[in-house]
Amino acid sequence: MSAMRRLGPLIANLAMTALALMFLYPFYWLIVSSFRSQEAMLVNPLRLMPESFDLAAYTSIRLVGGVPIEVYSFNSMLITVLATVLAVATTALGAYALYRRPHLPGFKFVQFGFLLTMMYPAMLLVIPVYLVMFRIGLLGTYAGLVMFLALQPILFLMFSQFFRSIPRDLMDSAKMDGASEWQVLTRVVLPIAQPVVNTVFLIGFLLNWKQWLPILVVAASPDRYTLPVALLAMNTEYGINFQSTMALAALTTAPIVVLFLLTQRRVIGGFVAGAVKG
Amino acid sequence: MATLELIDVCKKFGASAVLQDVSLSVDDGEFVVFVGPSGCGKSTLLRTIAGLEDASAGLIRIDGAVVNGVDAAKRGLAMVFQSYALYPHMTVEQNMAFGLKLARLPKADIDARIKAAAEVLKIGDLLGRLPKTLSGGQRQRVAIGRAIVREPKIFLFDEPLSNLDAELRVQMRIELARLHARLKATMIYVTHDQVEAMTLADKIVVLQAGRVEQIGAPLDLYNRPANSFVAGFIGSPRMNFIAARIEAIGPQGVRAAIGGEGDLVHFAVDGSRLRIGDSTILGIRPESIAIRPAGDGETTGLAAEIILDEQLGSGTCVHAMTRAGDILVSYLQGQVPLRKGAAVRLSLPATACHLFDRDGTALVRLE
Ligand SMILES: Nc1ncnc2c1ncn2[C@@H]1O[C@H](COP(=O)(O)OP(=O)(O)OP(=O)(O)O)[C@@H](O)[C@H]1O
Ligand SMILES: [Mg+2]
Repeated sequence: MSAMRRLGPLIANLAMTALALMFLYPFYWLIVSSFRSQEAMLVNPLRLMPESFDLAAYTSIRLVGGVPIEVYSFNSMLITVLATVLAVATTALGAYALYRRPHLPGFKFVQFGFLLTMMYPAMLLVIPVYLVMFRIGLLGTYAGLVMFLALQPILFLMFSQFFRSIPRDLMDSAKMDGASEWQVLTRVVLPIAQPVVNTVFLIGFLLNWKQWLPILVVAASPDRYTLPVALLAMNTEYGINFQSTMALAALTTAPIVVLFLLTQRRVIGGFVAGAVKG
Repeated sequence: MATLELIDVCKKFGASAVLQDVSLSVDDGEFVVFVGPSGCGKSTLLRTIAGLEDASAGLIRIDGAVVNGVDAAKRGLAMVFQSYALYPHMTVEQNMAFGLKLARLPKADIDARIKAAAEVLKIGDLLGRLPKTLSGGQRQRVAIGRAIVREPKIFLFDEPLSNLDAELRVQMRIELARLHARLKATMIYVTHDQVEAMTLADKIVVLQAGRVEQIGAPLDLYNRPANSFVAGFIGSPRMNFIAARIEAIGPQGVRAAIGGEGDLVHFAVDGSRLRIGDSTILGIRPESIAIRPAGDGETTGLAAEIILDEQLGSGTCVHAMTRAGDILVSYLQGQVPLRKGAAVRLSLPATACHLFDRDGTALVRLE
């Protein structure tokens, strides 16, 4: 019995470590490979340490498709940050409005519409999005890219879920204290929602950072591409340069890994705050 | 410090009518209790007064001015919720200051009011704490304090004590009564506990299924219930009800037969609306039934057999079954040595017997 009790956690820990390694390995491999020459990689793909720290790949990606890497990085940051801010602001306010006044005419329809966009395959949106962006003159503009990426129904659902967990009495109480609808939101709901807003922002950021299809569609030329699209562009008619691809992939992944590590504690706190009522 | 008047207030949620033609008036400084079974619309009525729900029809007047359509934030009322609803991210002091800051009161006034309220409620040393670190009773005090500092026209309480344990509930009940005496403010209090209603109220409003059943002072409702619902709801242990058939009607009252044997009971009520043979309902409070041992040639009163005795220490609840099979509960002062199976006689004094017609409406009592 006591042996079982000691073995249980041990086995669980081993299993989790194994699982974690399974997820970590591809990232590790990616980084290692970015330092290895293409030939070495083909000969012995699974080597755990690079033969030497060869930085050739990193210098080779100064220009991708004729556009400096700085442009892609700048685009990635700008578009992701703006789109995520816009997405968090609109979905938070939208979910809040739906929560506060669920019976206003048309709100049921809006909610349903949001769910529908989640179930709709993104691939099928390519042509309509292209046409709409073209018609309203946003094709190839930052505004078009940001607006399209700001459409994030999953964030809306996360906010809806959270707002529903706030006791209604709390808002009624603020009303009784003389708060306007805006003050209820800014003085009571948002401070309580802070950890959830952080979490949703981070998730929105991750989702937008890795987007490539809508950017490929809406950005008319490579100078509006982001890092993931540049990564895609490395796959040229001349074949794949493994080493450079790995280097660019490492650069693309690094910011979000850092971001996640920095905010991890708060994000997990936010999940818990959202899950436990009150 | 205000008066309140409701005129034919109705509230519908979709198709279901939750409040129907509720009319009542609350005087300045009065403590009014809304009481009724769960789901009868007490909270809805309170929230409608507060402005958190819109009345579907009818008028609400505060200090004579119609407030239908006035936002809850602008009605100048304060509400204490059953769930306390303290702002979790604010300290006790910030919770109490919130409404005052929104009203842009000078800082010195805010501090003075918080200090005074904290003193009354004995929460002075909790001011820096967050709500999650407080006990239920402390949270309740803070919630009341938050209402007091606003100096509202009317205090609204929605079952504020129902989340507290029995002992604390009694204690807080007494404190609330003291608070009312001290502030002399108009207060409306919702509860489903008729003891709270009886002890706190200047005036009780009994609600059932969204309608007002009766409004009156606690003892008026107790002594002269307008119908069998109020009679059954107010008073503990509950009033006894048994079927009675009218046998004779006279200027001094009516006589009715109860049970199969036709034992006659006299009622001091106005029988002019009744006819011989009408079926009615007799109501009598447990403490009004006197019990004597049977025998000794005793012939007055109802013959019955004791089927259960509940010894409460301060009193005894005796359940007795008549020969017709009706069960009557009698409450006797002290520790009465009556035991199960004993044959007894129950006497039902005419002045203590209530008579309700078939719809449950009480017949007017003769004084
Ligand atoms: N927002 C709402 N939408 C629909 N129906 C509602 C709503 N609020 C209350 N009701 C209904 O109105 C009726 C009265 O509810 P209310 O909360 O006023 O009862 P109550 O007397 O306060 O009961 P309790 O003692 O259980 O608190 C109930 O049948 C309830 O289901
Ligand atoms: Mg209620």
